[in-house]
Amino acid sequence: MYEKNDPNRHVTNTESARNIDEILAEIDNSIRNEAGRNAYELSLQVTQAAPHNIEAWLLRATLAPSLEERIVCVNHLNELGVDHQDRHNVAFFALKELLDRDPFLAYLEETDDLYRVINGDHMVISILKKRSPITSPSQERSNPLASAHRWLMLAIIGLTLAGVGTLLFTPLAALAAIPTGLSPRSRSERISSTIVFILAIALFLIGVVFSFLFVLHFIG
Amino acid sequence: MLTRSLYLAAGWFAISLFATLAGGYRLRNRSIIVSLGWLAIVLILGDLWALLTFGILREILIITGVAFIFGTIWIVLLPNWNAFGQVTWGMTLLATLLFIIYSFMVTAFTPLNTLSFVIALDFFIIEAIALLMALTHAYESLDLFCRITWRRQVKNIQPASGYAPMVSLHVPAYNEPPEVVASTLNSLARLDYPNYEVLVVDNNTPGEENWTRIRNLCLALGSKFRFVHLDRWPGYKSGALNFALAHTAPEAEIIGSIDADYIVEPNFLRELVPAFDDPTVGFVQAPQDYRYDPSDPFAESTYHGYKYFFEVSMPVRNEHNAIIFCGTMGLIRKSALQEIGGWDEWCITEDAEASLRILKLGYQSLYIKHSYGRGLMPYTFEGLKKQRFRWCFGGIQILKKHWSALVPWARWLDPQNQLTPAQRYFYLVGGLQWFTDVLNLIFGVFLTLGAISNIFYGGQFSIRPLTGPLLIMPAVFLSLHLWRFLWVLRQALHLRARTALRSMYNFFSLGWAVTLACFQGLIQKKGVFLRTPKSKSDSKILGALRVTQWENLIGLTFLGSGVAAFLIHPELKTLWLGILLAWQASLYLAAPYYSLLSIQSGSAPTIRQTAIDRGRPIAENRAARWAWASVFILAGLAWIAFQIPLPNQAPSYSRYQPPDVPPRLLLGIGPTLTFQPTSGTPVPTLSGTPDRTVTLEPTIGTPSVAPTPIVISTGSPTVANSPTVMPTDTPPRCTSTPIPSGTPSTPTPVPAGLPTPAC
Repeated sequence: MYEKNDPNRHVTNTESARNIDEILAEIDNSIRNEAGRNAYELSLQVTQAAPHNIEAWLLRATLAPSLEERIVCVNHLNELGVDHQDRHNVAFFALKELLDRDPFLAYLEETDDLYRVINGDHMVISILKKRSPITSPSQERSNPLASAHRWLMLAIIGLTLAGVGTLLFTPLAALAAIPTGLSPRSRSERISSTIVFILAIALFLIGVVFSFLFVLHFIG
Repeated sequence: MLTRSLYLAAGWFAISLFATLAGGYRLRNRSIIVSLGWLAIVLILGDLWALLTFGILREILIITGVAFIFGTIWIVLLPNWNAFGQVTWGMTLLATLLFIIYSFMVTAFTPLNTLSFVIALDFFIIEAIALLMALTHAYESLDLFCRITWRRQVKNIQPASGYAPMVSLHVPAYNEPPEVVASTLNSLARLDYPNYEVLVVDNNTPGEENWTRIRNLCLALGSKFRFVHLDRWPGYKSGALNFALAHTAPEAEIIGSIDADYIVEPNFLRELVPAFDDPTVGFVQAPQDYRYDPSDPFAESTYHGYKYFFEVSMPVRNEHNAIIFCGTMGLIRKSALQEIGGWDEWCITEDAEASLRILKLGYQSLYIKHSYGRGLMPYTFEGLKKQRFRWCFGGIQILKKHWSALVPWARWLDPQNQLTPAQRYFYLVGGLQWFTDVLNLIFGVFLTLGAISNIFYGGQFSIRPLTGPLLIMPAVFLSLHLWRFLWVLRQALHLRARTALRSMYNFFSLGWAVTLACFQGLIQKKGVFLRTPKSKSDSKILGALRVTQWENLIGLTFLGSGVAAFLIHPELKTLWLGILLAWQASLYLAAPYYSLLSIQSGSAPTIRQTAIDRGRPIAENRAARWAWASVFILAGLAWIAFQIPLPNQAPSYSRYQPPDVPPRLLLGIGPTLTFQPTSGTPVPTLSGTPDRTVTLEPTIGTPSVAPTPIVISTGSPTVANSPTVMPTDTPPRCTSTPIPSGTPSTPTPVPAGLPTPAC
């Protein structure tokens, strides 16, 4: 039913796994028989026995009598990092209830997947971001052609010095692009380095024209 | 030939633009015959003018043939435009390209000292970029008014029966006056859509009592309304919106972001949500509209300045599926937003940035030109200035981050990049257009240097070569493009001339803020906001003037130097220089005018200035120092250039300089044209005589008036004081500095007037 992402699952022996499955089934039965208290007690047992079992935590989060405990369960679920709609629902309604009571949340930290916040009662809460991680410009700096692009940009600016700067910087841009062109990690890198190379040549030619005119004016 | 071709192309450009704006845009038929016919008429009209004034038949025939082919290509490439639009665009492009070529030839082959050449070349580069930017504006205007077929224009979306996905409306609030938020929330409570929630996210508002009132409002409005206060939350508005996304109801499929000062119409969701029935639609945008008092001239002009974007730019962009998501009054598919990773907290215009990433995934966007809500505008010029700074800064951030996705070869680099060429064009140009104001300031600086050189050296020096076309054509381009802009404002926004003019100036008055934002956007890694200078005085007037102190200084410098140049050397060229500088000054002096106007109106309904301050503060005074340092460096270079003597004799390369055509010839005044066939190849050459008769003398060799290497120019924009024409086979002489004003040692008919700009 659920995708289990228990890193210790491979060391769990078959027998204990069967026991956990049996307890989970018993919890389901208890819920159907409206024996909520019993179901909750069982969910406590199973989360202690299998702290990485998503289904167990989901059931406990549903059965927990207090909001604080539900929040603790949600935190566990969120930290386990498995994407599942039921988890989203449980987490959403628990947080909603908490915020209906007190809408104050203060920022602590965040990861790609989670916010960690603290509420007015100093309870730490994990909140799932529910979105793909975004790449910030600083993370994008690993581009191997970044230096070639920088030289190219300087070469463009170099046009304003009658192309002399361009003559200086375009070879550097081309040289910076060559290693990537010779051993590209991807097709994109190969094309990118080729384009840098072509642009460097084109700019160099413009620089030659401008510089030639500059020399003409220099010698009168 | 180049000079005459340029004049002729300018004539075609003017004729076609006049005809289009005079009513041609109303033509709603599409026929290639009509288009070709109109192209032929425009070309013939221009040819007649040229033949009667400055033209030479053989040249006219050649350039007309080229123009016909060029125009035909654009008629084919723009099948959805009417004939007037197609021809106007073709002729605008042709005239611009010819001018750029001409300008380069003059810059490259006019005898100049080395430093002057470098500065002149830089000026040429800037001028060429400015002209290309002007082309993009012209294209947008023509696309709006001359387009016959609108494939993506949507007026009413017919909802599929029963389609009512849940919408989560996010209302970010920071230090908002509760009464303003109350109006917004009450309007959201009146939405006639069955399935929505409203999540008010208050981030970092200091003082519990301030946000508790908003929370109580939410409680009073019922279960659809939820409230959360985020403390010490990073990421400004984007950070708050990202939290809202995390805490959105799981069943919500669509997200809307509503500014806390908007009063939304009840039908907002009912009429926009059906667009999402198409799973390829990523986001939908309706215009942002504003509440204002029409009797308040500041508010009125600001309002129309905003409206221009939604009435002109967005419909055009929509046709190419390249609209910008503007946040408020827009809806976005939740799954698309999650797919791109939510709002970018690095960018201070996160909404526009998100739309680019969504389009990159291949989603469709839709613009519905119907107002569904009205918000508040900044009620002071200071607020307006800060807002424009933020928009521009954000635009530059987007450009810096996504330039590689926007270049023509982007698809080769990243096959996942689904942006079409049109989308890449609009996003790239949209970012680059901000730099127009930077170029404008640079032009103003060049003009001022020209005025100063006139004041101190009597106009003997010029960094830029002075020729007729360099004098006339920028004026032609400037006036025609301005006229078009004003006309578009009037037509698209249905404004009276005076209101349109005021709105246009409101737009231009923010040029300094945009210039600063461009520089800051390039050098700053993270978002900053502008901290304007504050007055210590209690006087509102002084306060308003203090806010625009830099604009005042720039405007007065421009104006003062122009007036001084004319008063010290009252002649036609300094008059023209004065006019140009007065125009430039008016753009900057509009800032104190609007600042004073804004305090006069005093109709501010609420204070809402803090919401636009996002990022690290940067003092305007500090930011401006960089600009002033650049100006002083340029002035220093110009001064050095003035000290270096020019070559005594005309260098050999000057033979490649395009020949000049005396400007008076264009009107058929003064010089007459005669042919005096002589031996050799009958290549006609213009030459002047002391009685201002220009003779076409066929000569062997380069067809030209004697090259006009006279950079050190004097005289008026007409033929100079001693319009004797040098024989073409005589090497032209350059003068060495200094030369007394008004007595050029060269007998060349230098149309010495004023270039735009000249030093």
